[in-house]
Order: sequence, then structure tokens, then C-alpha cells
Amino acid sequence: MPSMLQDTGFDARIGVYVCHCGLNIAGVVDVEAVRESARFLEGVVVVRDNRYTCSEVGQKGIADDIKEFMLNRVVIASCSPRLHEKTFRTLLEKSGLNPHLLEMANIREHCSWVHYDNHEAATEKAKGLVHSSVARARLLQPLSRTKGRVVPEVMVVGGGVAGISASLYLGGMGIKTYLVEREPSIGGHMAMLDKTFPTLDCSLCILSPKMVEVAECENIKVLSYSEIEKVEGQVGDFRVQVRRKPRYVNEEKCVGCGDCVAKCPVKVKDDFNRNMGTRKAIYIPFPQAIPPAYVIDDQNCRYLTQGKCKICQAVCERGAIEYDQTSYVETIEVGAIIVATGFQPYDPRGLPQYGYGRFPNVITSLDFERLICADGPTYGKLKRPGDSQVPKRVAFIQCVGSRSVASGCRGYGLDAETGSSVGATDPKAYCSRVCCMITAKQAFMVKEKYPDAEVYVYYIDMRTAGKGFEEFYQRGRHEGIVFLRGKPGEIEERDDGCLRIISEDLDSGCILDLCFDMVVLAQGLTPPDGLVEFAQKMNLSRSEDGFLMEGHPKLRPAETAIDGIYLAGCVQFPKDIPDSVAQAGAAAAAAAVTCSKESIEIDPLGPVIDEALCIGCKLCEMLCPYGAIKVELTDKGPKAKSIEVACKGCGVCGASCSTRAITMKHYTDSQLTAQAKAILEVV
Amino acid sequence: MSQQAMDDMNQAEHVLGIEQAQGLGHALGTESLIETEHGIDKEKAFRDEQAIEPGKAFEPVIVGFLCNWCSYAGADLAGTSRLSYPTNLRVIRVMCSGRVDPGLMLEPFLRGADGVMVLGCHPADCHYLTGNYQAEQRVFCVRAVLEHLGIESGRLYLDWVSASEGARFAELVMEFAHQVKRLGPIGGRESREGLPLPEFMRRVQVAKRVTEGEKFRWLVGRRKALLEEENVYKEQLPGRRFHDLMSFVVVEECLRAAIELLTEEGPMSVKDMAETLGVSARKVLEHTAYLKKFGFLELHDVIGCSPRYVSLKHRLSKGERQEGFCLMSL
Repeated sequence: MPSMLQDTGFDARIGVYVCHCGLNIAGVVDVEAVRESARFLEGVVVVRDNRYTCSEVGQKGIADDIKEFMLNRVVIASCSPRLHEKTFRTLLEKSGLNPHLLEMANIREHCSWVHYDNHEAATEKAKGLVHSSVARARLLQPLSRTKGRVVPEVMVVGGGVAGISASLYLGGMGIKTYLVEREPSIGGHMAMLDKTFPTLDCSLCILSPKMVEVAECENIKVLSYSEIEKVEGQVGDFRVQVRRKPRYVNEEKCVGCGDCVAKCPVKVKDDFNRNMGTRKAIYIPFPQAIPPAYVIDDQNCRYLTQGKCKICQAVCERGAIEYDQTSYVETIEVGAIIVATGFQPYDPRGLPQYGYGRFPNVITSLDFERLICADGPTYGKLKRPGDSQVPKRVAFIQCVGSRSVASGCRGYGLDAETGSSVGATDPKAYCSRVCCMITAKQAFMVKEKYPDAEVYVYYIDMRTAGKGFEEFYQRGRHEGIVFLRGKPGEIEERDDGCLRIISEDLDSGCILDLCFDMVVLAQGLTPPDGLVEFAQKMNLSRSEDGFLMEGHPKLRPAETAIDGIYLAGCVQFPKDIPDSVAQAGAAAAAAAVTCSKESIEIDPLGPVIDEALCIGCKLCEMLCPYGAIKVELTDKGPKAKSIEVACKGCGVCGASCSTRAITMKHYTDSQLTAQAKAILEVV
Repeated sequence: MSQQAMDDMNQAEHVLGIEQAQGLGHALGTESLIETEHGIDKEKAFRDEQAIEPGKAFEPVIVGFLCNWCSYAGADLAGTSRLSYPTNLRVIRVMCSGRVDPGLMLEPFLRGADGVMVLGCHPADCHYLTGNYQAEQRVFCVRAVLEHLGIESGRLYLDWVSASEGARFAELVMEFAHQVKRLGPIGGRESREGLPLPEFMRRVQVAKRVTEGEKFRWLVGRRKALLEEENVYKEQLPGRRFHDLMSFVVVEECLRAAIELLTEEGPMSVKDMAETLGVSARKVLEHTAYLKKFGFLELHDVIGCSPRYVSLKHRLSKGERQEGFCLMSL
């Protein structure tokens, strides 16, 4: 029985497999030489090279060798273990070996792909990496995985169209789902749009039935006006602390009659309408809001700020107003989390040359959506903010905040002082994907409503890759929208409020000096506010562009590097509504897979404590970030004890232990030392 | 004690005092590790470039300890993006930079590495919350030991690379390879330290012993908390005091480790040891007495009127003594 040989009492019998990976490795590294250099290493029984080790043929070869040569350790020199460790561990398990008896040498990502200009040195390096892996493999120990429980419930963070869709998929599968939304109502940015491209569907008309479905689905619990405070645990068993902000209105009792709004004496700017209209201090963001309950804005409510008023309480027949509500933290246990926190539109004040914020008639594309929406501050009349006149000449400027290579993407990092993300208003290097079509749609809508209006679009490239997109764009051209290739450098405001744009038309080579009544800036999409802190809470990585990083750019677009946490919508990268919905489906399916399991196997990477050496100094206890190691009094004095369920296996305790009494499973001191020794054997 | 001996002792202490000031004190005087890392002496660098003869380029060997979640992933991204960087680096994967034991950081030097890199997640981004901060403390303190022993602390490097920073990873490897190139190979005439290779190795061995010692490890582990948190009396330990304490521990521990190593190679008298190590006989005697008391050393024989001591390990191994051990008499 091969499994008998795993016992460390037996000598290691190692099989070494060097992968060509087609020409990915073999094109640079002399695979045969690497193979031969491993042949006579201690414990090596068989060495082979494969064209593709991960292929079925390659895997079968290893499985056969394990039987034939009674292998009890396998070294695979190929791609990154982050890619295929799972594949080969499964193979070992199927062949009767403990999955932890596998060691991989990364000779592709860390060698052939980065040393393509020096074949000789790359080969020597590959040899060193293989030697190091063999040295470690000799000392590998079989480990038994612990089983973790699975809570068959999912939390979806973010109630935009992606979060709504994911929740509906999950709810439909019978999985209990918590939908957490920061704002008083779900709906997200889609609820703010008037129409959607390229079909010109009314945005809220197609979204609100889904929102109602969410409210009616008995498997979905909407936690609106709530934010994630803390996340603990691991796949299958997360404990999420959700801060519930006070609405001051009892959601159960409120029927949305609106009596309170009519009587509320405080008028403030309406942030849902992009500060262009007003609302009361007690309000509902939009008529179709879910949950359909009012909320009191505690920054502006007269009673909550000055201590007198209470008019709304007096008029509410159902007694739904509760001034004494306070924020509280609710802890929810879930098995998987879907992050769908969306995006934030780029703030064009970062580009002062366009005068947004200074010139009233320069607006953003989202402002435009509210202006032209029948529910908006102007009831659908396109009145420019400056003087409430309907503009006759409208210009759209593309790529505002996107594709600004010159300014570049400041990218990753934290502000040392505030801890917030650096350069939120810095223009981004990437293409925001949706703005071309948003502009095409909005230009079309202007033409549709005001056929006499002149509409100009300043663009760099029109990117209309999508079903029906190009056709829609061409239709706009036929309607008489003028597309000018060239990005204006500056907008000037004339005394009469008109906006002058001088730019070069790259197609004709002419300098155009044109005046407009209104300019719409096609703002790009940027990572949402507070994503840096959120990512830290969830332990997620962000890409260079600041959005959350997917598990694999091609094959795991809806997953993250953390098992049990999935992505949907624009929080991963800007995308349009159908793509967001599709990704939400993928994330929901992935989360459902996790929830369908009875238990989850957790890698046993915890500490091993040598009680004879431990002096109970508590250093490990003080340094463990998870409280997973505690000093307890035993009959031999105080000794450290590991708490397996809490341990994540980072190894801080092992590397800090004052008497070196602690080592880590699978990354033992002797394994790492052996690796460090062997890695320089071939220089 | 004769007047002569007293003078010798004073002088030796004086020498040690200077060394402390130049070596260890200097290393510990700099508050932030990161600052020293990036503060590359331009003038010095230029001089070194001039010194390297064309055609005789030295290619350093570097071992990197990369954390699985950020820097290893960043290195993978450098691969998938086909970003070329020097072949000098060989990577060992650990789950967290906080797993890298101080002793493990020195192990590669004993195997001939010219530089060691520890790369972790960016501050506040650690997959394990605080592992990278611990790595920072350790690298800081190990560098102090190296400085004290006359080894360039620039050979040990710590930085942060996120999973999305493939380009940054390639850049860091290139920079560090350059830095190590300037420091030269370990041991030999071309090295910045100017130590013969066996002597270099011995010093690393001493450093490794120190980093494996209880006192040192306790201080490293508590450093962050002691410097950043208040005690129950709402007092905070002044940085200077911690540094003084650390300097003291490093000096003493290095000496003890050196005595251990010497006596492992063969029996030696206190006087000979003091001479070899360039420290006062009284200091050596203090440590010898301690080591004897706790059973690390035993009396071997008495030649003339000087007793010779030997490590218990020596009796077990009977290893042959090698020449040229001149620790700390730089």
C-alpha cells in the first residue's frame, strides 16, 4: 500500500517531474539538464520531464509512477503553486498519497518567463529551485486536514444591480442571503439612471421589479443603511459584524404614506438628485425605494440636531417615528461573502481645466441622467443648472478621468496620515468601458427630446464593443450628432454663461472654436469610497487600478484570492449592467458551491509546540493576531497551547518564540532551512 | 592585578566602546528601517561603480523569502507580465513574512548567498493582519547585529510588494541586486567588509547564534509593543532607552556566542580568547564563568597557571580547530 510509505519512519522516495509547459519553460530553460541535475539527489527515485505535466497524460504518468516506484513524495517543477498546487494535490490524494507530500518548484513565473534573455542562467536557477524543492520534499510530513463547518448562508455586500442579482439567484436556490446596503435603499447607481443603453429601456422600470422581488423573497434579508464593520473567520464560517445605522423610522410600521414629508419643515439639497433639487430632512431617496420606508437625516433633522420639532412624530398615524434609535452592531454568520460595492463616479474637480464646480453649466454624465429623468429635479426637462434654460447646443467630452496616461494612475497605496486611498481625484490610466456608450445614449436622448438641438461629442476613440452597441452609435451619427475626434484642453466661460471650447478636430486637421450652452463630462468610474479600508477588513488585494483583484484574470473573474469571498459588478472593474448581472450570477454560483458543502477542509498549518522547550513566556500569545495561541498552566508549568480553529497558520509565533519551541506544520524550521541550504547548491 | 593588565583592560574596553558607537550604536540610531533602506549613498555608489573593473562583473546570489499572499503573487505577476529582472534571486515561499525566523534570514549567508531579501505585504495589508510588522522588527534587529559584527547590514533587505505590483517587484530585485553588487561578494578582498571568507562565515555564525538566543528574541518580539504602547502607568519607553538596552544585549550576546564558538573548536584559555576577540579579559572571564556554571563549558586542562576551557559540544564532535579567527578585532 503506497499510503503506508508516508510514514516518516520510511525513507523518502521522491519522484521529480520537470514540465516543459510547451515552450513556456522549455523555450528558455534546458529542461533535460534540470531533470538530470535532480537524478542523483538524495531520495530521488525517478526523474522525468513532461510536455504538459498538468495534462491528463502527465498526471497519469505521475499516478503510475507513484504505484510502480512506490513514491512517497512528489516534486513538480512547473508553474506557480498558486496556479496548480490544488490540481496536483488532488492527484496525490487520488493516488493514495497525502496531499501535503507534494512540493512545487516555480520554474515558469519565477524563472523562464522573467529570464527569457539569459537561457544559461535561467537553467542554473531552475536547477537550484528544483534542488531546493527536493530538499524540502524529503522533510515533508503527511498532515491530516481539519474539517471546518459550513454555514449555508451568504452575505452580499452592496445593493446595486450586481448585488440585487446575486441575491436573487441565491434566494432562488433556497439559500438564505443577507443583502447589506450602505444607503437607505437598495438600487445603487442603476436607480439613478434614466435610460440604459443600447435599448433605451427605462432604467428604474427594469430594476424596480427586481428590487420588489428582493423585498418579497423570503430567503433574502435586506440590511439597508448598514455597513460592514469587521469580518472574521474563514470560508464556510465567516462572522461578519454589521453596523446598523439608525433610520429613526420603524421599517415595519412605516407604510410610506408621505404625511411626514409634507409637514417636515427642513429642506436640504437632495443627494440622490446630485444636489440639484431639494428634499426634506425626513425622506425616501426615490419613490420605488426598497425597503419602502422613510429615513431621517440626522445631520439636518431639527429635532435630532436642536432638540425641538417632532412634527413628523405628531403626524405619523402609525407611530413609526422613533427618535431614540441608535446605531448598533449585529453579528451575522455566513459561509460565503459576495462583494458588490460598485464604483464611484470620477469627480471632475480633479481636472480644473474643465471648470466643473466653477461653471454651473458644466455637468457630469450622472448629473445629466438626473436632469433628463422624469423623476428628477426638473421633471425630465433638460434645464441647464445655470439659468434653467433648455440648452440649444450641447457638447459631450469623453474620457474625463479615464485614459489619462500622462497623469497616470497613481495606483496602489495608502496616505500615511489618513490611511485613505491616495489620489481619489487623480485621473486614471484605464478605460472605464461604459462612458462611450453612456455618451452615445445621452446624445441620442437630447436629439430625441429636442430634435433642433445641436449635439457635439469630443472623443478620443469610440469604444462600442458590445451587443448592439456599434449599431446604436451609428444610429446616433445618422440622427445628426457630430462626433469630433480630439480632446479639448480647456473650457472657458463667457460672460453670457456660454461655454467656449477650442480644440483640434483630428480628422479634418481644423481648429474648431465652438460655443455651447451646456457641456456634459463623461466621467470615468473609480473605485468606491472607502474601498481601501474595506479591502483591509476583508483581507482582499487590490489591483494597480485600485479595484479589487480577482482570483485569476481569465479563469476566476468572480472569485478572489480568499476562499469564500466572491466579486460581482464594478468593484472588480468598470462594466456595464449586463456584465455586472452576469458576474453576479457567476459569484452566486460560486458562493452556492461553497454553501452546498457539508464541511470544508482546512489546511492544517498550525504550530507544533515542543513542551519541553516552552517556558510559558507568553510572547507567542502576545504576538498572535488571532488569539489562537494561549499559555495555560499544566502540571509541568505554564505551556503554550494552540487553538486550532482560530489559527490561520501565519507562523508569527514560530518565528518569534523566545526558546524556539514552536515550529509550523508544512513550513517547519527544518524544511525552510533545508530549502535555504539547497537553493544555492547550483550556482 | 598588575598595572599593565589594568591598562590593557581599559584600553580594550575603550576599543569596544568605540566600536559600539560606530557599529551597533550607529545601526540602532536610525529610527526607521525603511528610511535607511532607500537612503542610498550616491557618492559612495559612484565610487564603487568606478572601482568595478569592466569585464570582471561580480554576479551576486540572492535568496528571497516571499509571503504567499502579496509578494509571491507579485512575483508571479512579474512572470505573467514577462517583466525581465536579474537572475540573481532565488525565491523561497512562506505563508507570511512574519514566518521568517531571524536565524533563517542568516542561513543563506552561511550557504554562500551575498544578499537576502524578505518581502511582505504592504503595511496594513498583511493577509495575517500584523505579520509584516513582525518581519520589520526582526529585520531591523538582525541588521543591528550584523552591523555590530562588521557585516554590511545592506545585505539584508526588507520591503513590501502587493499582489498587483509585478513591475515594482522586478524593480526591487534589480535595485537590490545592484546594491549587493556594490557591497561585493561575501568575504575576500573585493567585499565591502574586507573580511576573509572563513572569518565572514564565523561572524554570520555568531550572528545566527545571537538571533537564536532567548534574550534577543524576546526583545525583538516585544520591540513594537514597547516602543508604541503605554504600560499600565501610562508611560512609554523612550526609544533611546530601548536602543541602549538592545545595544547592550547585542554586544553581550555576540561576545558569548563568540566564546561558545571558539571553545567548540578547541580548548582555550580566557587570556587567549580575550586576545583573539580583542576584548578585555575580565569580560571574557565573566561570560566563561557563566557558561561554565550553566554547563556549556568545562575545564579542559591547566597550562602553566591558565586554565583552558572547552565547549561540551567540542567533546562530542572533536572538530578540528581552524585558523584565523579574529572576531571583533577589526
